[in-house]
Amino acid sequence: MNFDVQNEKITPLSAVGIYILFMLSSVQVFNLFESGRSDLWVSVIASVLLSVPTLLICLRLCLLYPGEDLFSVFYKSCGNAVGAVFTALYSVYAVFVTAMAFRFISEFVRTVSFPETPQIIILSVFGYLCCRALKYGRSVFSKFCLCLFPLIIFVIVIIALFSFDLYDVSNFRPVLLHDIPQILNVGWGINSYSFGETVLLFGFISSVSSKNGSKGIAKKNMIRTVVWGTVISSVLIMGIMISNVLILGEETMKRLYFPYYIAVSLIDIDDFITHIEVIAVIIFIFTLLVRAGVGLSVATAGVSKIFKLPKAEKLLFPIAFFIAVISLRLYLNAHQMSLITEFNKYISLVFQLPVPLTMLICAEVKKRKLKKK
Amino acid sequence: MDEKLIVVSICLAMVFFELAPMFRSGEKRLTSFYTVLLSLSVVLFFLFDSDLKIPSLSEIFGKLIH
Repeated sequence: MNFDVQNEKITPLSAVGIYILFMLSSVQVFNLFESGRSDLWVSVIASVLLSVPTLLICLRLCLLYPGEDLFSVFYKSCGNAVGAVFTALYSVYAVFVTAMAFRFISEFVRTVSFPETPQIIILSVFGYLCCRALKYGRSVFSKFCLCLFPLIIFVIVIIALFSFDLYDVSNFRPVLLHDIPQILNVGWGINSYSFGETVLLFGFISSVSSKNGSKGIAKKNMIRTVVWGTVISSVLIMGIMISNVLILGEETMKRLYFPYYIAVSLIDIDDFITHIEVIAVIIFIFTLLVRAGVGLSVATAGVSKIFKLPKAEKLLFPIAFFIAVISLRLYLNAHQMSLITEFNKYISLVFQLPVPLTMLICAEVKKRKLKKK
Repeated sequence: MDEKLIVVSICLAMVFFELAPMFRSGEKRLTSFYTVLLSLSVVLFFLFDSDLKIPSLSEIFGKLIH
């Protein structure tokens, strides 16, 4: 079955679902920043504010080229040569983001359940799962996300309600314990791993449809997707951060790689509802599946665009395997995860602001030239 | 160790023999890309799994910042 990126339309609700699940997948990473854990929820607000320029640039690009995917925008605004260079760069960035997602799931599985299992086995299984999820195209994947996201939001809310007994307000005080520069630094890190990666997400959800195919309504759908997706995902992420701090406290969180999993494992209601941390595992795996699926799809689309290959979905499996092998050398063990999140801050800084800004300038100049003609 | 060398050599040969005709004729075939990507992945996997002590990205970054 072929999937032609240009003709793959995603409904606005599915796009919001993909957006929220993509952002939720970053929650477990936030504990890896070295400082400011009790003020993580403030850092989330800072990260939303820091992501506003990126979101505005990406929205403007989508409005200039409604219904076009990211790589077509590169080619149309900058020409073939420069477009190919930017497509190659973004494909490499998509490979890096997907490799990080693969490796996080592998570290999570090994830390929580199977420490002796070789990493390549876990990576290969997860990679195969991503390929099968994407095999029938983006619209099918988006429907899967649409079915999944209300369930995940419901589960997160239920877990928050069950955790009420465990909340210790003294863990939350004092608010703004850390310096503003520290909070902003962590906010930058959070932005680099979540809201700033909207640039990559736009490579997947840029073809949001309208019922009658009208471009005007497609533009409005895109704006609504971004606004609602950002609002809902930032509220959910802040809620999870606050819940982790209230249950565990900053000192305990410093010693954990996956605090949400541990916080959920403490829930015990009358010895009847216990050991529901498996639900946290399911949330983590599904959200990472969405992240890896989006990254893999964008990487595959980029490679097929550069080399002008007709059937992009045929390359899913070899690219997934390549990414799985590359992810083995991102970091050697769980202790080095914080280093790679620091590294991600600097890499993402290039791809989340200057490059999209350059694209926007080229697109605006081209638009004005066409108007004059 | 010998088996790994044999597998790596075969994969490198496959990469070469798939890429060479593509560059000569300019014709891009999906099966060639498939073969090249898979063979490169296998070669990289054996390289990372060997005793060569290739540093990870986080180690390189750690050395740069310290």
